[in-house]
Amino acid sequence: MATAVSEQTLLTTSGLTKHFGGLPALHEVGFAAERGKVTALIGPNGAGKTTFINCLTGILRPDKGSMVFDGHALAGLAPHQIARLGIARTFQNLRLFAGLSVLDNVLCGLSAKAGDSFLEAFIRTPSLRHRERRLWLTALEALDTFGLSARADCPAGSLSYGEKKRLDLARAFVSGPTLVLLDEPVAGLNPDETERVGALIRQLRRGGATLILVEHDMDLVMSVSDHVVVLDGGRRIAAGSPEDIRRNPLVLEAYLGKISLTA
Amino acid sequence: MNARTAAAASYVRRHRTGLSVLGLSCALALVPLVLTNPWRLGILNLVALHAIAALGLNLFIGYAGQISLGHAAFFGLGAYGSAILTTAGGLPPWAAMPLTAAGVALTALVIGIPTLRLSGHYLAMATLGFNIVVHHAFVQWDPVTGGPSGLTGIPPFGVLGLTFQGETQQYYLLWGTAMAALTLSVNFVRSGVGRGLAALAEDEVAAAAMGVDVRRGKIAVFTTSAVFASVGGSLFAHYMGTVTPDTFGIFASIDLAIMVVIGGIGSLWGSLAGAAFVTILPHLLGPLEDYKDILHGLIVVVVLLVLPRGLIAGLVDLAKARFARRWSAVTTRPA
Amino acid sequence: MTDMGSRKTLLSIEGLTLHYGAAQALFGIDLTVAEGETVAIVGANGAGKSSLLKAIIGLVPPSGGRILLEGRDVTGQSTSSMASLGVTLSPEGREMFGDLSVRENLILGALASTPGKAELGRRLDEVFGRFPKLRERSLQHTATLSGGEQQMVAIGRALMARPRLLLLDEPSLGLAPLVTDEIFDIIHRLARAGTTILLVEQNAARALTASTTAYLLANGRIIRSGKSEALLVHPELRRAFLGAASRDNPAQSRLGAAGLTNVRLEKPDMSALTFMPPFTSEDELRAHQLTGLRWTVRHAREGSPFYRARLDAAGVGPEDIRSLEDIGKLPLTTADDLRDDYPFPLRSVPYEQIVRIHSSSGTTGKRKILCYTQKDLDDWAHIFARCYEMAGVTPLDRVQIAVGYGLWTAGVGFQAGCERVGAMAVPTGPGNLDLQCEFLVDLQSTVYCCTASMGLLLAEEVHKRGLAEKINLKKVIYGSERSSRSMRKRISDLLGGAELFDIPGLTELYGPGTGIECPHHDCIHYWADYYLLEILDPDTLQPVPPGEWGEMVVTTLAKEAAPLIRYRTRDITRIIPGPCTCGSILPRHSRIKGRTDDVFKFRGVNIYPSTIDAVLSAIPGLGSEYQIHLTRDDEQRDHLRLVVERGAGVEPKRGEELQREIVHMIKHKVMVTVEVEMAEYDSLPRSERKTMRVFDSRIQDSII
Repeated sequence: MATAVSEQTLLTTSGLTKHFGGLPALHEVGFAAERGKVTALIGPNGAGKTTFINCLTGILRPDKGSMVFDGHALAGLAPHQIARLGIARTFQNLRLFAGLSVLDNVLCGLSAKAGDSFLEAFIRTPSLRHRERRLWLTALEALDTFGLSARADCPAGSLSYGEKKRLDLARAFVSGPTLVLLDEPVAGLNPDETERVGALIRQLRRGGATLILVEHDMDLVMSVSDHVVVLDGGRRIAAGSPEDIRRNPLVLEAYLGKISLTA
Repeated sequence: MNARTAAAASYVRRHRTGLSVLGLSCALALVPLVLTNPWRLGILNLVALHAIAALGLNLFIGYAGQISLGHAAFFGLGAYGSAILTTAGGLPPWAAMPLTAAGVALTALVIGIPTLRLSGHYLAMATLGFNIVVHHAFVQWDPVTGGPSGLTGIPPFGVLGLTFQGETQQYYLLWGTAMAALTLSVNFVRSGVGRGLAALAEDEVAAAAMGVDVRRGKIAVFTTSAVFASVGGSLFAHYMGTVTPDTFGIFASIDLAIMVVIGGIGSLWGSLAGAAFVTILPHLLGPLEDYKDILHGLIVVVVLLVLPRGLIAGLVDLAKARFARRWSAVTTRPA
Repeated sequence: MTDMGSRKTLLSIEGLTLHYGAAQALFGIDLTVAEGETVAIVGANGAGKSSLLKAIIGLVPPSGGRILLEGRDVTGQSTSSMASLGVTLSPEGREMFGDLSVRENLILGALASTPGKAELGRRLDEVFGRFPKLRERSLQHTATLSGGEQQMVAIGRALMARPRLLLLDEPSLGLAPLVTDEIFDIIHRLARAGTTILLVEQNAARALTASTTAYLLANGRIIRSGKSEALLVHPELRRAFLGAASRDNPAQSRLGAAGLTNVRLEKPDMSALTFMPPFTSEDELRAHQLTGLRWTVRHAREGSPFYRARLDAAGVGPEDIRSLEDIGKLPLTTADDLRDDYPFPLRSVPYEQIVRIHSSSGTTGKRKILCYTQKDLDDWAHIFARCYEMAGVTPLDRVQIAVGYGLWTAGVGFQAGCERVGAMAVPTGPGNLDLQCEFLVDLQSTVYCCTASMGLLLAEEVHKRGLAEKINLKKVIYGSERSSRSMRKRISDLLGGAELFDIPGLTELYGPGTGIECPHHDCIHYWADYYLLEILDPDTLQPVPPGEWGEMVVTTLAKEAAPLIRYRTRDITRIIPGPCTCGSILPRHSRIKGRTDDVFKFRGVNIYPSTIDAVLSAIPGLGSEYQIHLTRDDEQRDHLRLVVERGAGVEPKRGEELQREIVHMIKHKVMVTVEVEMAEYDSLPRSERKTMRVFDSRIQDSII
């Protein structure tokens, strides 16, 4: 399937392939995400969604294919280089810095802006102090947005699951990235919390963020996405608007057909 | 509270770290006026030297979450480097120290780049191995290092015409350097780079996703901790006047690691406490001095089992937990 | 199902308390599980469910209370001894031994019960029978399995020990709905086969349909317990766990419907009615402009004694205008000229042709009265319709006009343009927030027209009343007042992400509608076919180099009743050269930076309020309102006190750091030291018209 590329396309992949041993986790996957829009990536468990995200963020090296972000080729870049290009992500399994405080976790999200110089850090120059203060204020504002201000000094490990999910989001968004990859942001949340995260996603989208959303919660996907891409068994089987995908027979078969219930 | 007091309170709160270091420095400065016994001062001087190395090591172990069981090698390289440059090389001590530190930094880079790809047990083994190699070099390379008997006649440290002779003067030099090391470390952990390293220690994958250059960070902090140890070593050489290889063997490395663990991994103030504890303890043991190593081991095991966050942090936690349980037993209604 | 009463109690928990260090997680839990029963523990995140399971299985020692397994006290027993007693756990997050295969994971599950080889084989077969997918993957490393498959391994592993009590911790976590169906199907079957199950879940509906008895856990305490079927329909449960999303929430209908209300109205087809000028090239535009300029000079000279005198004094006549560059020959006019010629300044037509007058509010000096012929009004409505068109307003829109009517140009201007473009005008006028909100909700207005201050006032009111989801505002067109970036963002956010369009204009130049913010929001397009724009240095009165800031000087090309020739507006802006990304060929200028008389001098530096609010907009955590108070002390030293609102919801203690940051940034950007006072959000006054922000109480240099 051809992927339409326009001036408004922020991220594209073409022919992306990744094998684990003999098993194809991704096979010739083409994908496009438009600026300022939410593109959802759905598919049954094991379809290759997390593998896809890991290829985009440099954790895995694809065997074949290209990934281009805002004119930059992503293949071969290390994860931290990709982050510094303006791509942020959340993790399916959170990966919070449990021993650090909530505020420090969010400040880590600003690592790219915090400066690299050891010397400057040791001497604590006035410019570093000013930068730290600005980062502190920015991090606090992010905590406000994600409703975590009251827990700013608590260790991240002591938060409830819903708060942890929001912290993961805050950490990804605080640096104002160009593209954010959300890996199952509402998994394990109750309906109230899911709605809260959904509202946050809509708010971020209105602010002009470009999002790629990997999710199982169909209500959320349908309510926030502009475009949906469906993977199954490592292959792209459908792409289109949420309404189209909801009615697409291939998609329905992928979710229902393969599972055989024992008598 | 009027505006003045509020402004003062705010100033103290904002600069509490700096003021604490200043406070400690002032307290330490007063010690020689009270404690005049040169032998006791000598022990405190040793504490200062160990503290400098322990602080550097804590940055590596505590903040970057790595392991090194061979840091005495850097301490030794610093000591021998300064010793050689000031005796055979004829350089003044204040020039030998930075030169040695630069050499040690380079060595750390060369060792670090391949070694830091490893982790956990493998990294520990590699650092141990490095220590053994260095120790071996100290012993065998007679013409340069003076072999098993080492080097003597190392001049005392001097800078700008001032020479530090005698326990009291050495006290101010060594503790002055230790407080400087503490200041640098404390600044470091509060900076963006420091946070990046703490993140790296918790979860490398997530830290990389935030933009932290994991590889470069590990190597940089390894080199930094080596430089701290080197400075400590150089000052040690000038303090003792002689250096022998056995001071810098693997047991010394393990002692350094124990100082960090007892004080609390990740607690810089704890490193000072740990250095004090491990240095002073043998002198309090009297007849049991020969069993020093066994005792060290036992203490580490006990601390890790009972107070895993280290002495200081662990005792504070314990107090808080005890109080909370007593309170809850009072307030929770019986079933 | 057999009668509960006849069953033996398998697990009994009495008064269990649990601490993590100093924090208490469980406060006296009482619970019983009968043999063969499935009991569910339901609670939100952080309620203590996992802590309870960990206490039962021996991972965390309880700090008080008792756990009894078939009457025997097992409180605080180690995990391995609990396993040998037949209690196994499928942990939250599954906890796979990633490097081991599925088969190896399962075999480890049987470790505590040490079965023989044959027995082990039988058990494996049984588990594979229940989970055929795992049989296919029995040699695969569990780290590479999907979430659902890992969950199956976790449950299978717990089953390998043939447990008497199976503890399931959040089996549906992170699984697709259909996979969750599969998992719960398996749980049902296990229950039917007689396994005693203690199920912990956040998904209340699932947990209650899968169990016979349930306990609701919140904040470490059991708040309710009973039969699952009864609890499913209980109102307290629904309120606690199913939340507002399931009740009749207006937003839900929006999602369920075909998306009608979410449709963003596209710009109309070019073949449809358009108000844009027909020029396709710059040369065509310039030719048109020259014709208009020559006409204006001749018309003004012939019709207005004032202009005739001025033109003669400058020695310029219509025949001297041969190219657009000749505009430099013409004399300048100012607001003073309008005041001097009160009440019909610049009148260039006979009275019987004048059909209307408008007046400015007169905040600076005497009122300015401007008169209009019918053609002027038609032209104005036309260009205003063009503004709406560029903003993407169509006949389907409902335009709520919350600006002043009567003498003020704004109200009638917005309305005429709206009717011309075919949209529905809702002329509420300013103020009366109750009415504003009522109409926004009842009429579902899509466009709101106001001053920036009124916009903020309304946005905050909408937020206070929680109406953001009930209204349908897509665009806000605001004018006649300068606004900062943070104010715009605030208005947009509070109104649910509405698009903002700045509309410039002044009473002398018809009124608002002389241009409008580009749909790409980076510039303002102005209607160069109706007036010429020059940017002059306010001191030297010479044109500034293209792209630099200067005073806007306008010359009309078609205005009849009161034409303008090089009228100094005292607004500061700059031309943005080059083509616009939106495709319009009409030239553009930047948003108004301020007025020449906005500038105040402080310690020798000229400062614009717009510079101050640009600095404030960049600092995270501030509100959008501020005030500048200029005072002079007894020693004749000037002080600038900046009162800044904290952002909504920002606590006072952050205020100190914000204060320091503001002082630092202003010193850095404006080069002056100011005092900063932080104020509570919403404490500074907001106005319906224009908000006054600069209060200068210093004695001005004046010659008495």
